[in-house]
Amino acid sequence: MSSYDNYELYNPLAVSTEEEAALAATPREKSPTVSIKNLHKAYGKKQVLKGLELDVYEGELFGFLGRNGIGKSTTIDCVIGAKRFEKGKILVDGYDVTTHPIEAKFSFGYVASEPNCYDVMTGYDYLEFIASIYKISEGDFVRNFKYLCTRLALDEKELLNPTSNYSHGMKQKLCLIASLLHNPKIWILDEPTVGLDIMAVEELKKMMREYANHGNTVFITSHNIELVAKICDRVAIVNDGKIEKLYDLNREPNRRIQLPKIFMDLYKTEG
Amino acid sequence: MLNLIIKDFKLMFGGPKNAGKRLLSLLLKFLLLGGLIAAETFLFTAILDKIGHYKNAPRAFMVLFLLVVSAFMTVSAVFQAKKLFFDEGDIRQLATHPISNATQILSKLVFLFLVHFASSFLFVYPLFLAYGIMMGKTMMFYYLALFYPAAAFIFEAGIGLIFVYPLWYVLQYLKKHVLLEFAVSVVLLFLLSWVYSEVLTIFVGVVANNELMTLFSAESIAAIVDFEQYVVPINFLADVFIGGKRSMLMTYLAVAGGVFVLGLTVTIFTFHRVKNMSVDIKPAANKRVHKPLSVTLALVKKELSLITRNSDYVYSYSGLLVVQPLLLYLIIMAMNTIFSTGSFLYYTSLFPNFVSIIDVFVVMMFTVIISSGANQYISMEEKTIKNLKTMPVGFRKQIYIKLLIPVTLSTLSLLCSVIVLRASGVFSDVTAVFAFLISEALLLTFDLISLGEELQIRHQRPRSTFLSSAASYIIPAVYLVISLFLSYSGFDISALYIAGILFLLLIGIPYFLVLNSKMGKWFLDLEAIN
Repeated sequence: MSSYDNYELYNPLAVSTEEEAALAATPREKSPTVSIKNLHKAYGKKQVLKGLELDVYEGELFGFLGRNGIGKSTTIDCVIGAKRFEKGKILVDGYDVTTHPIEAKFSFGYVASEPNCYDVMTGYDYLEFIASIYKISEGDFVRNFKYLCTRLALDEKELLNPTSNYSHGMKQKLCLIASLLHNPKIWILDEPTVGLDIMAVEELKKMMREYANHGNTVFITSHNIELVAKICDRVAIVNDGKIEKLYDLNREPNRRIQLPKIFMDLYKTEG
Repeated sequence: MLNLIIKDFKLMFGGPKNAGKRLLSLLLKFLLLGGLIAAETFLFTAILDKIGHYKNAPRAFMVLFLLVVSAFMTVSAVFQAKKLFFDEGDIRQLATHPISNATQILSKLVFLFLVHFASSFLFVYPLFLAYGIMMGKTMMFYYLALFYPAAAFIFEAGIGLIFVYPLWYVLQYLKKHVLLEFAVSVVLLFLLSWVYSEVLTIFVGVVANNELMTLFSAESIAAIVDFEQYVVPINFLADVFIGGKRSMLMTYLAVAGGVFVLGLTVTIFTFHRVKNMSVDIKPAANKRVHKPLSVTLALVKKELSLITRNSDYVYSYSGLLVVQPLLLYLIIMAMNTIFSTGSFLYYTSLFPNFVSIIDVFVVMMFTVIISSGANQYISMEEKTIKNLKTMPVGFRKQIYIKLLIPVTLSTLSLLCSVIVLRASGVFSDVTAVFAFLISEALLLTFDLISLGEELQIRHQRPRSTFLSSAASYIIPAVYLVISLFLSYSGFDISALYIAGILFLLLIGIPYFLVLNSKMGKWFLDLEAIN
């Protein structure tokens, strides 16, 4: 019997009755977990973000859309503290990312479009490293680790091999697990479905929904508009450095079907 | 086939993408090769001049030199064949194209032959020419030199092909066992140091005591002449190419051909095996239980993993750190012997404390050059730079831990080296203390400058190493020149050492202040590779 068997399967994504009642409130009645005000960011002379404004609330699954090179990843990089910005303010879970970056970083889990785990470590070593950095207790680590491996159909034994031997999909699953180990309030995913098999994509969709239902925030960018239209509560389309369109798909369900057309029309007009 | 050969050429000699860097790298290789060939030719002709009148001696020395070239070419063939036949990326790429295994193997063999022939010719041609001139048959040996590398290829490549799979297998095994890999690298470096010390002893003897003639006594020459008969199959080749016994060609071909066929069979079999081998996933026997570490310890553990689990670091840095005390002892002892005897004594007497100043200079150079093997603090993160930026740990803590580990390891090695040099009587107390302090100050300055360069890598361009190179070469050189000048002017040695430390602090402290103030901006501007 391994030491893990002492722990029961624990679902950090499960929703209690009280929480469900709290979640009945509409997004606007809740406080924003990610708040971006007047964000400006340039690369040399090229102004990519020109006063972008956005509030993302707790309990919602938010889709952030835009064509290639329009500033989606730049916005995310500013939110997660990976890039400096010239002007504006970003609050993550109430913490200013420039003045309180450490507190802000504790509140989110981030998954990059390309899996970025250390090739010299085994998958397990990598997760242990993440657990130590986020100060996760042994009990929480083992519970969450076991639960997430089961959800993402990742064989625990495979995690004892160096990540350099992993396929792209396996690395992505490992990074998904790493991002959720500390049960963050905000889950930020940049193109998370790249390289995942269809079963893993379906499971990820369910996990994102459950995570938002649990009162957390899920912030996702994807080129797969159908996926975003299907699962998100609200979506924003970024254009010319600002939010061009913002829809509440729960209040305007017909937008779910129209979203690909809206997206195409917006950029077609732009030429 | 031609395309495959061109692809292999790019794979083997691709090197840096930047045209300037490629040219520089080519120039350096050319200079190194030219130097080696010049040294070989000089040594061979000098020896021929000395032993020309002994019966059979020129031929015996020619065979000896051909044996050395052959040994070098065989080792080179093993590594070239490994790169050609067992490069995982290449195997993966070719697997998706409609190219038969036979074509792949044949193209690799042709490429191996071309590279082998060209390199072997460069070393063999001067030997044949020098030997031909001595024998008065220049033209004949000029033409024979064209065919010798091709004939030698059969045996040398045969041996190379026999050993290529075992080498690949051992390296793969070592990659999975870090401690064993480290132990093997240390043993190899100690062996190399031992060989180096033996060569150094001969060299020191030759320079300091003018012992050149003792190397070529009648007894030693007779031993070398006698030794020739055991050098199979090089002696068969010597019979064919030098002795003119063409009948021995068949004997050579029988031996070398057999070796080649055996090597080829082994390589074809193992090439198929490796090609079809799926990623070998062998789970470790025991699961572990997560023991939470403190943030600092977790970061230290991560940095140690990055340094020790990378084969390049194991051989270029960690291994050298272990042998640094021995290497320094060998070199400084040999240098001190040279500078304290013979005609050097007159020149060194002009500069009081000349030997101590040179000794400290050597310790500085060694410390900083070995340390340069581990100063890729940010580059070694590659795609994980984003992890650094998103983890909830202050950037200063992360960066200083990155700096602290190599600095600590290098300092420990430096301390051991100085203790060894003091305990063995090579250094006085004063020299030992100041050699440590000056080298440590240089090490810190160099590592800080390297860190600054690493933090300023942008647009995925290679790091600019101008300042760190200047710190590693120019600062010790400036120290040497100024110290010698002051020593000539009659300054006290302790004052010179203190001046050296102050000089380094004057560079290091302002740089540290600038680095510390700009670190946050530079860190955030680091580009994450997606």
